[in-house]
Amino acid sequence: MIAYHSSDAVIELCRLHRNFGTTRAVRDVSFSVPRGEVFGYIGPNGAGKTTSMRILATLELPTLGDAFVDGFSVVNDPDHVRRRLGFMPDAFGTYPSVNCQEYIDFYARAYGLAGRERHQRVRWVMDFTRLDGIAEKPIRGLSKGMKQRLCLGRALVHDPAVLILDEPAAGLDPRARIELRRMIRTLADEGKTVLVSSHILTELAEMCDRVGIIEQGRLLATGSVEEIQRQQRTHRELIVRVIDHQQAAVNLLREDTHVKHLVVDGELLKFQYEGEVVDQANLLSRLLQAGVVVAEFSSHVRSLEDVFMQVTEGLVQ
Amino acid sequence: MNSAWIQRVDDFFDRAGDWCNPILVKEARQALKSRQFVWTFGVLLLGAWIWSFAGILLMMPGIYYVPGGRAMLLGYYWVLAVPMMLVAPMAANRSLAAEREDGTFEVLSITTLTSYQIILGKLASSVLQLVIYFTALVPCVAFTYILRGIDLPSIAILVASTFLTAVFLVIVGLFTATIAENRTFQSLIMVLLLLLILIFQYVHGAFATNLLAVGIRNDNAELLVLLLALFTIYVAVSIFLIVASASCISPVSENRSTRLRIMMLVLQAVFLFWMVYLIFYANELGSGLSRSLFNDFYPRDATPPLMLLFAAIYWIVMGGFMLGESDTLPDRVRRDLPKSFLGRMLLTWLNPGPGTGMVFAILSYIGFACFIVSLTSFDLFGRSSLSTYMLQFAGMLTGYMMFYLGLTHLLVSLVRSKGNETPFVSLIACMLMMSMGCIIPYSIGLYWNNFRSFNWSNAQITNWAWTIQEFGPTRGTNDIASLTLIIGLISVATNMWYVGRDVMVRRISTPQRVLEELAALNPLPNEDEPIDPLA
Repeated sequence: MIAYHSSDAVIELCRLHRNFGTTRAVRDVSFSVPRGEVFGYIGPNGAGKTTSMRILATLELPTLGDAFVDGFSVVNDPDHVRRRLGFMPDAFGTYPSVNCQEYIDFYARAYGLAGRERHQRVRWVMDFTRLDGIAEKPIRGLSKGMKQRLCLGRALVHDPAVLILDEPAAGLDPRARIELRRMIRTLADEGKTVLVSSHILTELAEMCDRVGIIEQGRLLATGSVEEIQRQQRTHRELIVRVIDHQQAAVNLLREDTHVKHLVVDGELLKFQYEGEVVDQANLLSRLLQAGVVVAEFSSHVRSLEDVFMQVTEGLVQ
Repeated sequence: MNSAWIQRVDDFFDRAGDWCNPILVKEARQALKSRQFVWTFGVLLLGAWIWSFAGILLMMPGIYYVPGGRAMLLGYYWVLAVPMMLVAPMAANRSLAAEREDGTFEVLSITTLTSYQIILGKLASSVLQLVIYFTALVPCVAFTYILRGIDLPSIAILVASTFLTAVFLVIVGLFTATIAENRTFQSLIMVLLLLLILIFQYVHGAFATNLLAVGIRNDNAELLVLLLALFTIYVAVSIFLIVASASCISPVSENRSTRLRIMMLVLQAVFLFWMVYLIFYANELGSGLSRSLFNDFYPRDATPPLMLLFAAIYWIVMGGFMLGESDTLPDRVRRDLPKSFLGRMLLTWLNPGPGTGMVFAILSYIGFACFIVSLTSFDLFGRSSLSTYMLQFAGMLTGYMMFYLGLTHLLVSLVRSKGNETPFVSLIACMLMMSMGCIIPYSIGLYWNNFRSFNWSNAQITNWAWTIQEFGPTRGTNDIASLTLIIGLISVATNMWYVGRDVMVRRISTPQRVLEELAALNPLPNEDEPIDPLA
């Protein structure tokens, strides 16, 4: 058993392994998430995201290693973990014939809430997830977006400290996605720790404080998007728009040893720059001194998608 | 005023709902709205009405002067038997199986509900449906009493036995849903469940027909004892199945075995008590049913060996299941292991694990055999000369049990991956071992004797079927008993490393974080403050 865990981390995975026969779904994954943070878990299909999340949700046992939620081991104390954890799996587990209110009420009872406390929590959840307008509607008649909100409500009904959301935005229309994003952000602002996986990287980039990129069961990178960019990148991509004296600019750039892969695209000169920021400033200064008319000098801001594509290789197990 | 009263009633039921099992509340909401329930209830009412009219018309005009209660009650019995003994158990099975298929069970399993709450909630909702079905037919049953020809005890026994059989079948339905993990196995289980239900319906139908045809005599104390025996066995088996079902759906980190082992002992004790009681009852007092069961059908001398044989089969099957338990004791379970020397000595065998399971099955059987042999030694079965044979027979059966359980344990330990649980695989492996133990030496013997019949020899010692037939309870020899015990001991001895590993597991302390949480969840009363007796 892995006995260590830091006290400030609400979610902690310690050298987690999970094998299914010969398939190694999760290999030596370790990371931690502090209180109130939204942590995005990204990776291609079959990367091991869902397996890691199911281990955290006490639905699977790790082959090796352990995971902790608020200091409780998911292996040895799953009942203590469940009290403080809300899990929203990628598939809807609902009862079609009951209505929304009954569904949330059932889970409130299942988490041991009684009397006034149960009524208050159910009311809050219905209000927060904006299900109060369809409280009497049977689940079989709900749209996918409504069902997602219902499942989020179910995960929230016992006021857990930790939320694990597996692909919560999958199949949602843009409006529903934005609403869901707002809800998750609100919950994090209230102090809940959220671990969320998604294929929609732009969503995660806006919502998450930090991300972890996993592929073939291995955690390849963790940190904020900027940190991962810095970890992964040895160069910047610069773009210079030259209105006049373009040839002089090209000659000057070719002389600079930090400039690689120069491409001339009309007025634009695109290249990779391996120098420091000071060198970059000097380069601009030299261009101007050489009489080059520079209309634009910018560095290409890489998105989470770019980082993801660079970090992962698209391999599946 | 009126709405305030309704509000108060509503609040009362809401508060009452807090005391109910959440699964019962959910299932009641879900099941009572389901098409299956509406259709079954509708068909039940329709069947009862049709039979009421048809039965009366068939009995006309004799109904005014000939008692017709029995015939009418039999008709109502069959109308009630189908929803209670067929639909309700199948629905209970589907209800739990569907939770697993639809993924709702996973979501349910990560709530704070225990596996017992889930099983008992499902059971309670099925019982609620049974009560509703039964309540619908209460006026019809009362009507049969008015028609005369049937006494109240017969009605009570019929109704109670129908209800209890239906509840038992629901429990079996739930149990079978918990053991089937994939669809193929589930389909097979459904077929077996249906078969079992039909057998129960047939047997109970025959009992009901006989009961209504003959009735019961007020002085038939023997029947009451038999019913009491059946009821206690019923309760023990039902609790065993509930514990087994809850164990099947419990998380791996929990102790899924100790309660089951205790229930195995309880089942054995109930079986033993009633067997011995009925044998004495048949010897000294009995007549009729118990005499025909234990004296006429089986000669008195054959009963104790049969008990030994049944017990051996029971413990081999239970042992086979226990051999499939995980060989890794979760830390959670290790926190509750006995600490004292005496506790470790006596209670270690109740700890989960294949090694302790094997020893537990063998020791339990030895205990049972010692008890039966002691009874025969003290001439309590009527013939003291039986005790020597009994001792040899018990030794032979113990030897075989040790041999086959030991062999299976060794095989399962070598083959399976660490931490895996394979109770059914190990049981099948045990059965295969036992079959091979008969087939292989017999085939070699046949080949050696040019496929002609041949006599038993020591080479056939693993062939338990032939050996028991050859040296049964009345022809036992010390040599055979010793030989089987020796091979049994050798087989168990080869497992000593695995058994030792299970036994040597020590208790570990509970983490401080968990202790704090438990203290917060169950706060102790402050000792300084005076306790208010009325608070």
